[in-house]
Amino acid sequence: MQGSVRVKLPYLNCPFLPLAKQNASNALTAPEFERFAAGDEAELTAFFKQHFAYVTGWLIYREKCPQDQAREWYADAVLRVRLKAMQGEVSAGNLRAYLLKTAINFHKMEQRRESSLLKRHERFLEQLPPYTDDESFDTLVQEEETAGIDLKQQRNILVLQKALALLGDGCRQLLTDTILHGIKVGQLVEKYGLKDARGVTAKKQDCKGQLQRLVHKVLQQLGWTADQISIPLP
Amino acid sequence: MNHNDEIQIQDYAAGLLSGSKKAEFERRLQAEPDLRTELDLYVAMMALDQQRLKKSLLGSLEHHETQPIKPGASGKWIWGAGGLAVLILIGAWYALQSKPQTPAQPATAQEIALTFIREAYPPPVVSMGSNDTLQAMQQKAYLAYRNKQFAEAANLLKPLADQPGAPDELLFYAGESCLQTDQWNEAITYFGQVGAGYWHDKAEWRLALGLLQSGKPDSAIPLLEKMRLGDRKNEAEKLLKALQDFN
Repeated sequence: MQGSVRVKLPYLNCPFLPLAKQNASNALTAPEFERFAAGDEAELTAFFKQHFAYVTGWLIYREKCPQDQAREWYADAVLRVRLKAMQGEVSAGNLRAYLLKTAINFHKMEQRRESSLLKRHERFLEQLPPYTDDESFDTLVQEEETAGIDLKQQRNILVLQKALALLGDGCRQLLTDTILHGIKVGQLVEKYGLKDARGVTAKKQDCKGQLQRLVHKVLQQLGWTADQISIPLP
Repeated sequence: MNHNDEIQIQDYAAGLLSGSKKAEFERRLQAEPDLRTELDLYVAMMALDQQRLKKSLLGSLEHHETQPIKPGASGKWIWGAGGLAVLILIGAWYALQSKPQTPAQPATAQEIALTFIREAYPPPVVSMGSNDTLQAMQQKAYLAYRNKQFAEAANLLKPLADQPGAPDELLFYAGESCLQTDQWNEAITYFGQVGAGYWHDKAEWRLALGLLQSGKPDSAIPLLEKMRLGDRKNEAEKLLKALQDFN
């Protein structure tokens, strides 16, 4: 777990202000944090730019992290902090210190993270060409050793990418909030204007069903069979 | 699948589980095919979303001159800047002593409200993939809003928002587009129609600003009083103080 790697908190170098006050000056305002925690991507980009110089500087000069890796750990850390904000686990006041601690942890856990399932999936995606027609989809599936993930996992990604592009905005957003961000259904009642948590659960099941049907349709278009992937089908 | 399973899936996929927790989770993956498929679905979706977001974030640095800062350097820089600031303050104090003092005019609530209005609410969030299922006119309106072409956005959104049963998000952005183009009464109407739910608090805040601009402070005050208890406490108190000072 992230908390298992202990790091020294970044006691800042400003001689005038104690840490808490410095953090306060870098803190998001209440409306900014509200937008950040609601998944607003403009606010995410602003947050990313705001702390880029400080956090990557710390990683490079204090932690001796290579420059190109510092950018990547920083991007990963920002997305992790956003996820925690969306799950209601962090508040606006201490975000910069939490972000720095997360980035340092990611750097220290480099080996373990690089071999993680998610990183291996990301590396596979990075190798894909920007656009491919249906006929040449088979050529994208590589040897397991080259791709870093097994054949079914490679096909999962390729099929899901196409299916998600066909899914409606509302469903895509709801599945992103529930599956990716792990937000509890009770917290989504207001956002989606539904009556209660059961309404959100029902809508989530409906959206998942739609996605599964689209996955099935894409499989047929590509001439692949259900046993070639490992994600659930209707 | 419960919330704990979801958190474990997230942590396992990201390589954040270790030791006995990791071994236990891997044992469960072998024994529970449903958990395995949930993990595969999660990791494929997450990889797609992470890749899209990271590309966008790192791309945003291309036109941004920021370079990593050496941590030790900032302290010296601040000492230097602090010294300079003290000198400037002393100079400014002497300059002020030699001139007749004219008190700064405090801003009116309308002026303060306008500064809040001019910080337009961010455009609607659309996540994952580019295929859009919104009506063509709504897509065009949101695109205009995103490009800060608020007059065009207002013209496109108003007929949609006037339809019965228009969703709250659409009503909110119709109101916001009107607010950005100084159509105070229309903005008030649309914000006033936003029902209970995610958009309600945001609409009430923008409604209060619209009411102040249209010269209806009496209607704005109860809304601002309510906001004193919430996240917009500071903004609401600033406006209420300005209203009090000018009465």
